Amino acid sequence: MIPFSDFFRHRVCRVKATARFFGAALLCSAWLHPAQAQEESSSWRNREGIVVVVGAPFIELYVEPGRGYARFHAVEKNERLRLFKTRTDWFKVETEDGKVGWVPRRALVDLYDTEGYPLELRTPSWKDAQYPWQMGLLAGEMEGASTYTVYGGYRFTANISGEIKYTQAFGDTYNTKLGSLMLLHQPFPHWRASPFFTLGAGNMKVFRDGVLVKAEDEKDNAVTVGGGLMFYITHKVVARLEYNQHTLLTTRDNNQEVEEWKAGFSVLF
Amino acid sequence: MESWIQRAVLILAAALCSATGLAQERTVLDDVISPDLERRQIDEDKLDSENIEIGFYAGVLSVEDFGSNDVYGARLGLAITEDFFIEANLGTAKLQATTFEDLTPGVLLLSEDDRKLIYYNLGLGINLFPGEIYLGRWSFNNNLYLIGGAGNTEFADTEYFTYYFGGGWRLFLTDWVALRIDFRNHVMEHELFGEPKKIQNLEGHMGLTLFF
Repeated sequence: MIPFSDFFRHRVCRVKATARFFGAALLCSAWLHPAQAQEESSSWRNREGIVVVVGAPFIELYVEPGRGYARFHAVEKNERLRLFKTRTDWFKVETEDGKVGWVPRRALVDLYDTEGYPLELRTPSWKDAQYPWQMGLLAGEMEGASTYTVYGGYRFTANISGEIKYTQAFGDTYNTKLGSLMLLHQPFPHWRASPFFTLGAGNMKVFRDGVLVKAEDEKDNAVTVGGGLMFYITHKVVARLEYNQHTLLTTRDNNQEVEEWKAGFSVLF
Repeated sequence: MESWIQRAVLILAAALCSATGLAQERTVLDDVISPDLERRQIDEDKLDSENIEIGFYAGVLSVEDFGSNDVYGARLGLAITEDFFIEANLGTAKLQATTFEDLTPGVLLLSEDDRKLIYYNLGLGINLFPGEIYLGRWSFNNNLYLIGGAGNTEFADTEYFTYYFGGGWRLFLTDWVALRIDFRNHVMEHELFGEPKKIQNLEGHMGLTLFF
């Protein structure tokens, strides 16, 4: 069976093969065939991607990127592979004789480059979570109302990040929207379970449910302190548990304090 | 006692000798056999990664009391591993009149503007049963998935917290184009008719996605 994605490639190959046949017939008479062969292999190498030499006894090629798919070919030691595409932890590769398949990251060990230098394809661990940008989603509870929070963050130093958060709370008779700008401090950024503290300010709007009571919508500035725990699941995914205490600077005599618990995850990039 | 000390000293000495011997051997052999080879890193950024999925879809969204309505939406996804992906959706639909409005001439519960429904959400999906299917002599990659998430639904001038769960089918036409068919249930609670009412809104949609 031929993967449909290779349809066009096969077409191209067929055209190429035909061209090659006529080309070879012409060139053979002029004793130029070896030169053409050389040209071909260098064009294979010059195509997009990274050429590696297999150092392990063999590497198996899968038909599609997934651990359960059929393995249809084994590339042997000292043969060359061209890596040209990735999806999650899978690499799409092409052998020198034109076989195209997928190889998992864990199989790409013991590689050499064409000059014989050992090549390293590191499997990133949670310790490589050094990306500056972060985007996440948290769900939780604020004074009995269910909430969700979308946030984006940027890491200025290993310890300090800035975050923009948008929280919406859905209570029985009201809707709350809170936008805030936070500063986040991680005292131990190299721990896998890393505690953090936040400090920030924002604006909270409370919309009373119009059907039930004709109450005024409120809009107050809020100051937020909080803390929590981040857990690096992989180098790209972080789980997060967070507690926030919002102090609403109301126009009334007393400021109002609102507590919020939430949990969720974020993706680093 | 003496023999114990002797033995200990001898073991220690032997260990030291062998350690230094080993160390010496290694450095000498190192120089001869494996010169200090520079390990080169593969720069993965040179490779085209296809983890981001972008697509559009169209289908039918049934909103309890408001009939079945055409829905159009867009999605943005990210494959985290070969098993898990996250996906954000933004969809919109125009709601029909309720049965009560249809049967009672002159009664309109919602204005035209309020009948416009917009939802957005973020969910986590898990790919199940990946495999190849065969059509003639061609093979296609495909998988089923379960997905669930939460978000916001906006209609009748109010926003409602909504969670959803569902599943679907992803058929890869090539490595980078896929056909998606989804069925989802959006659950939320509204008080449009006075009392709080929990409603389930079934959605079926179909679309194409591209991988970048």
